[in-house]
Amino acid sequence: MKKIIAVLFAVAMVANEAYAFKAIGHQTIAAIAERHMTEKAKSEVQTILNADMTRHAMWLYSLRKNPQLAHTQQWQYATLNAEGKSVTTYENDAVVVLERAVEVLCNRKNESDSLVQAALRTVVQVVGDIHNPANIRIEGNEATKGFNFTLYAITKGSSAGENLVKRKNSWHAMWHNYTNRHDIFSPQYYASDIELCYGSKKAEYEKGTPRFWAENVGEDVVRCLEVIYPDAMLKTEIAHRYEAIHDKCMAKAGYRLAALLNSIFK
Amino acid sequence: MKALKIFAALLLSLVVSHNAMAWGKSGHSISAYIAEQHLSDKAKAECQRYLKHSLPYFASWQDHWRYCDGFEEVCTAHAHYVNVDFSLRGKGSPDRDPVSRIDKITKEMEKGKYKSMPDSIVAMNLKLLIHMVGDMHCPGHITYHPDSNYPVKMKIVIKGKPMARHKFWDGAPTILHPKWKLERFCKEYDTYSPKEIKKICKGTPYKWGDVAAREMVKTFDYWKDGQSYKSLSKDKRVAIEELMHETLAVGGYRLAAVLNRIFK
Repeated sequence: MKKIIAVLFAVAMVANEAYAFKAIGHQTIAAIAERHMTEKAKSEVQTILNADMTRHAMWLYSLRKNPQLAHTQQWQYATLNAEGKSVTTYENDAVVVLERAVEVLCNRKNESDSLVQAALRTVVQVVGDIHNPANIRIEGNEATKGFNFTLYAITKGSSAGENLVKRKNSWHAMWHNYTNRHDIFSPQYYASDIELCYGSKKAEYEKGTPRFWAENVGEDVVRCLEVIYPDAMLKTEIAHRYEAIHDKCMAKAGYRLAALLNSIFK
Repeated sequence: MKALKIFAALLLSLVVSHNAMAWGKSGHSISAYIAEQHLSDKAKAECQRYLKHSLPYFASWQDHWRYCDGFEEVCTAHAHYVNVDFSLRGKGSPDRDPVSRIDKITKEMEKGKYKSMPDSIVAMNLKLLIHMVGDMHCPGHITYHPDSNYPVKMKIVIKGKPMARHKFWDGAPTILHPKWKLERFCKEYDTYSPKEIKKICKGTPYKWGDVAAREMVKTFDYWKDGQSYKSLSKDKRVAIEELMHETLAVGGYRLAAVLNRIFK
């Protein structure tokens, strides 16, 4: 594990920020976390990263282009068993990667600076990753690996009659694209917005362990898949309504990331 | 042949739906963000209580929901345009155009009347106001009388591609400043003095609409049909930037004024 993370670190120095444009979701989660971290945790994180967390929220995505590190693409996915429980020990599962990175951070006094930095960057991103419903996979449920569906609307233009408009969509694209609606928001402003809605739930959301968190998002996934399914033809409003679930997941990720870092750097 | 017909129908519907768009999502968010900076404490608290989000979060709500069941009427395409007659005065179309709807909603909610409305209706009205006040200040959102012969369909070339005048104004904030976020736009555009803001917010939405219609006529001289943005003189580019600055800020100030009046 140490060797892998050390190699990752070296590569990341070259590839960092290649995907910064699409980082708003991860950056917002980091910004929510920063609002709830203790002074000590903030200070230690700043020292290790030499920057605020929002600048490192997409670190792993920058590694994928290197064929030797292609397996890191799997690090964003958490797999649950058929009962919705996270029991996996697969080394590339997001939860397992997260647990190992936390272990490195807890033992940071005996680790190299570069390894500690890589572990912290991994934690910042993977906590976000396991809160994206598109990144939760459930054994025996093929749909959780992704599928296409169609959204439709009957449009009534001011100068034309009715038209049926269909748009292809996918399970992954739906969850990844909600942040596009607010891509003019800074991560800090997006964070303050999300907190207006979910701030009162912080104490409830931040409880548990990474495995519980993945299972918790998995419950939302199961509920959503009762409505959205492969090749479904759905009204556009379905996608609009699910933005609230997406936002709730971002809030949970931010609060949980803060709680995790506060416990590591207490 | 059948596939070609389907493609043509899809293309047509995309054109129709685009033409019914408002300020792009960015322009709406900027005006709403500026409005937020000018809300009274009470208005800010009440907006947060009903919306549970910021004003910019719902700035494009009316565009998102316009074709969804139960929202066709409240989010209708007509609610995005200020219609003016040959003499550039608002024609008004009760319950449909943004001017009359802003006025109607404000009167229905002001003087504490919002307290007797269901929370969901208050929230929906706020989302409509956030969007429509922005829309009526967008340079591409004045519908002129057909006989006025303004070249409303003129194009401008951006990065080598022709873009409709309407689409250019809708997307202008991010076309001209692709890296700016809300805070930067606000810093650059929220520059009017309290005295100027007070003057800007005087009058009714009807008057605001009429003034906007007269003001926007000058935009037809900013470029010739098919001209590239790059080839515009510095003066014309400055004029575009200044108009964008003015319309986004004025829309924000007036939105704040409307909300402050409702939650006085």
